[in-house]
Amino acid sequence: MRKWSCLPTLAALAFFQQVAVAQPAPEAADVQDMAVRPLMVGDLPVGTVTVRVGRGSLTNAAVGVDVVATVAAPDGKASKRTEKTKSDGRATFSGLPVGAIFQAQTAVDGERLQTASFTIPAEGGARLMLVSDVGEGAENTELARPHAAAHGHGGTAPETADNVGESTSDPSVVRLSNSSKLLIDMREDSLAVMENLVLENTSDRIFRAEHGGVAIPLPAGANGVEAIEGSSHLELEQGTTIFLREAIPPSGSPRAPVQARFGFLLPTAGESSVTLRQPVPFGIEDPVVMVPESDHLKLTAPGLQALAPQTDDRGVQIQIFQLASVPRNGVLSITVSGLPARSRVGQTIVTVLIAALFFAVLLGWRRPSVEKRPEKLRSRRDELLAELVEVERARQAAGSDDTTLAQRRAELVAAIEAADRSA
Amino acid sequence: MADFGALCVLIALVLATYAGAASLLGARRDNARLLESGRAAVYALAAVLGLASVAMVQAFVSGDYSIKYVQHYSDAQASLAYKISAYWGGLDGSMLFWAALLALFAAIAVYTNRHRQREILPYAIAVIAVVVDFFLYLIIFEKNPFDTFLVEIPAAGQGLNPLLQNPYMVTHPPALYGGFVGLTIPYAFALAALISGQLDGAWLAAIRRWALASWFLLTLGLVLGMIWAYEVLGWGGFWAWDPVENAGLLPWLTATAMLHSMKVQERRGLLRRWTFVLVILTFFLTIFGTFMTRSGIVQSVHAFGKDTRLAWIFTIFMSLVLLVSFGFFFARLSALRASRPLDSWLSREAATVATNWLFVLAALVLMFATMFPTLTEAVGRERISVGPPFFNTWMVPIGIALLVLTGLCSVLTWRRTAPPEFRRRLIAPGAAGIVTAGVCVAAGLGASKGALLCLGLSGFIVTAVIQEIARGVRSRRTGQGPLAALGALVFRVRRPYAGYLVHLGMTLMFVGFAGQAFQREESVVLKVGQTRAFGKFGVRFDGFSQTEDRQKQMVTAELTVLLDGKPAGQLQPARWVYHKRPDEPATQVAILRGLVEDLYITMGKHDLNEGTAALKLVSNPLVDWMWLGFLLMAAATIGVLLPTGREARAIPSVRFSWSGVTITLFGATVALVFGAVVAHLPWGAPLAILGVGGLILGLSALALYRVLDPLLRQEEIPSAERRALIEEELRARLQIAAETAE
Repeated sequence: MRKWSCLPTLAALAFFQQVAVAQPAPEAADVQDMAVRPLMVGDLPVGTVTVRVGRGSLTNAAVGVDVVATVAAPDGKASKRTEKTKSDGRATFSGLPVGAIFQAQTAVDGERLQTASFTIPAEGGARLMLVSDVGEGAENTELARPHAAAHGHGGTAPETADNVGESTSDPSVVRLSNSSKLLIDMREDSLAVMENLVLENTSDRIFRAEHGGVAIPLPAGANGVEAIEGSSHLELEQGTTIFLREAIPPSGSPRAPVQARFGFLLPTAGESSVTLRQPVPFGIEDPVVMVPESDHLKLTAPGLQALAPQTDDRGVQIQIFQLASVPRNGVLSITVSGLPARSRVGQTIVTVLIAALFFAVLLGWRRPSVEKRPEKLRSRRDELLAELVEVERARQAAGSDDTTLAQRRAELVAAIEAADRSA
Repeated sequence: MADFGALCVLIALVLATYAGAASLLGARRDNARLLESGRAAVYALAAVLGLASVAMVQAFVSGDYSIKYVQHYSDAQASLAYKISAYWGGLDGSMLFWAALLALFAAIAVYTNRHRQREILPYAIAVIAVVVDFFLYLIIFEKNPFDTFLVEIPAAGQGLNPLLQNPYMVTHPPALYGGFVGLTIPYAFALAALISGQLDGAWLAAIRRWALASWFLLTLGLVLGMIWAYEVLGWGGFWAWDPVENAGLLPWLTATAMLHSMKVQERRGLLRRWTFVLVILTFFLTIFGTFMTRSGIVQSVHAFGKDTRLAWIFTIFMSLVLLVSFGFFFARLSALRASRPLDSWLSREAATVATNWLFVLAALVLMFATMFPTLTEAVGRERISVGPPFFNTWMVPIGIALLVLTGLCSVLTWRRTAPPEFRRRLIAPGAAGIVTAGVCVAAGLGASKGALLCLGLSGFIVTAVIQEIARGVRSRRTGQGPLAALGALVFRVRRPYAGYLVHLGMTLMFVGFAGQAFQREESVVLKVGQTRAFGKFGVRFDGFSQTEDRQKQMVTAELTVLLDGKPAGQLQPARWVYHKRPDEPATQVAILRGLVEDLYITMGKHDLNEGTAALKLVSNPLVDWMWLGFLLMAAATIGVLLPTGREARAIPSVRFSWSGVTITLFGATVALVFGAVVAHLPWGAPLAILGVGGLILGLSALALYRVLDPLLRQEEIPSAERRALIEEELRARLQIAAETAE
């Protein structure tokens, strides 16, 4: 989260989330939701997970209950282990391989409870809680999600199971609602883009994607992808696509909507204009784009419509735009121009000059047809110079008074000069 | 300042390309004006890159944090020396420094050879231009040190890494870069000789001093790096076979072989192919070393970080270097036969051939081991690192074999050594070697066979060198005393005897290496007032002292070293915590130096309240012999680099000219800069920068004028000027004749 927590973004992010809440607000996490999340702790040995089971509340420990853990090892082999809860209602699984995907389930008084799946950490262990007869009971576990995105692990986390009701895998029932937003902020040599994509299921069944998750392609060139707090379970694959590993309940459900919240950097390479092109397989309905107020920054996109600006917590004015809906399998295209740019004029001029010099060398490489300095003349000059060297050495050895040598020296210099002149 | 610097770099790229193009065309078309213009372009290139360097230094000194590079590597608290050295402290700046240094060296090489190597020089300029172009391309299109912040300019700098804030780090990189960059000049002349087909020994005369000076700078850089590691890093040693250390050692090995090969070629006309191969390999390894440290292909604490794109660009350039160089080499292979066969394998030239094999073998082993982790990763396996034991297993035997050959070189004569003579010459050094080894065993140093062998061989070499010098003195002693004869020998026949002294210095360094086999260390926790015995020393912990300056907090342990119960010295190991980098405390080493052993102490964890300090005590036997050996090598090398009396007489007297005036003024300004810096005058640095900048600006204008003048000049060259040129050419020929006779 480091790169998303520096000063300008922090305030913008707060504002971003605030605006998100102002629309169909995600509900506060209920007890069940909290319970199924793993709490990573340092006081447990590596590869150890404890699951505490409560009947009605955590203070009422469910003793002697079988807790079944499904462990998907990093090499893909899955196995099941069963442990009974002790007097404190806690079942302990130890010796789990680091990097394995862990998920536990149990049944208390006929009610099935299930934890979120998560990766066994390399340091310390994890604690989990499962409490029966709370709120909507088992049905709620279907929307349980890990507290933080598991991007970067590259594993194949099993999606959270839906135990109740029928499901569908028809992608046509899913779309990105008009609550979806993009926040675009300027950085050095890049644009920081944060997206909050709200997924809607238009059917009356729970949607579960066929290939392990809902694929959200990223724009070309995006880097430094990270999930943002409050997001549903996301995983990044091959640096180009984000997978949402979660079932999507019908829109009418009272549960919080499934949201993919992530950020990435789009390099500007010192250019004044950058276009974000993001494929949208599910289409997106009237998305909102937010940009911090700037005199120079300009947005261009199909159906772009300015809404009333708002001010964030820091007092920075945010420009808000609404874009035209993008159909299924369409491309969301936003051009941001007016960015502070590096001048390429110098580089261009230098490249042209160097190319010209290169061609000059190529053109001039052929020797002139008539040699300016004939070979004969050149060898004559070499002979004269060699003699001059000998005369000078003899003169130095004999002392500078030798008039014969001095005269011969002067003659030779004159002859060489004449040869140079003829050349 | 950023725009001005960036503009200078752009102009430099055009000038470098022009210098190469004009020189090539001039040589091809026999056009004197183009050749003259090309040479002037090299001077202009040096001046313009000098201006870019002044702009960079000015940005650091004035704290211009709008420049990303300046913001990243300095802060307001840094002293002037570290602000200036931050210029080459990072990747982008180091490449500009590299290009500027190469341009300066090129200008000197072109100026000194302008009348001597008329056939080769244009091609040499073209080769240098391509190398400068490569670095300038990287600077302009990939890693521009003048890039500015576009969105928000930070108010303060991040500061130079505390480990680099050390006097050795101010001097080590320039020395190393000087060596790396200097080795481009021999390469340029060698390749020019191959391109032009002028394969006689004339090109060697042009580069002999360059090769030696570059080798010396490279050695100086490596030794300064070793001292820095020893005195700053605090792990107790000076060489860890780190990839970046190896990157400096690789070209040193082949450059040393190259020097030996050049000497044999000059003296006996042998090893002509070897010399070309070694010159090419050495240059390649300087670029390879730069590639290793800047691409992130190897993992090292000294590397600049990972940059895949840069790695690819370097790979392409290195491939081109090898392809073009060896392409010309093989094209001229038949013309590069030795002028005569090897007379005997029992000769100095044969020992030199064997030395060359060993140096090249050492370079290959070092390269393979350094690249091994990268190679294993490239073939799809896990990255497997190779540690010091592997390096020692290979390099120690090679080093010992080199010592044997060093000794033999002093005993063997040129051409052929008669076996009885060889045996006679071996007696004294052999006996000295055996006696030395025996003394070492008696002193309890027989545990390490390698070290024992090394020390015995050192005795052998020292005696062999003394024997050779004594022989020379005897042959010179015609009616004069031995000291006068020795003086005459050293000053008149400087090169061979300086060579012996270099060998002697190297041997002393090997004594230092051998001492590492007997290193021992101990970690202790002492309370204030406690004393701990360590070898022949006692270490008493007297207490802590705490100080703070604007950059850092310093906790110092006050220690008294006792010898036979009496105080032998005070040591102050310390921990410095820089305000900007509290997570990276710097260890300050304390050393009690001695020819027999160094007592080396660092402080780790400490508790001021309880008055306890964790100390690491290290005994480093014989380590100072290394530094002494280097000093001897340095003195001998500088002796060879100075012109001989005959050469000095052949150098033309400085005539009054505008260029003479500017050079004098330049020297005076440089002296002023140093004066101002040393005096710490508040206005000293800006004034000095202004002075140097103004002067280089003037030189740039003059050089640019001289680039254009030959092309625009219409009038006939006056007779006096023609005659002056002939006189200069004559003097240059006489100088070559004098050097050849020497």
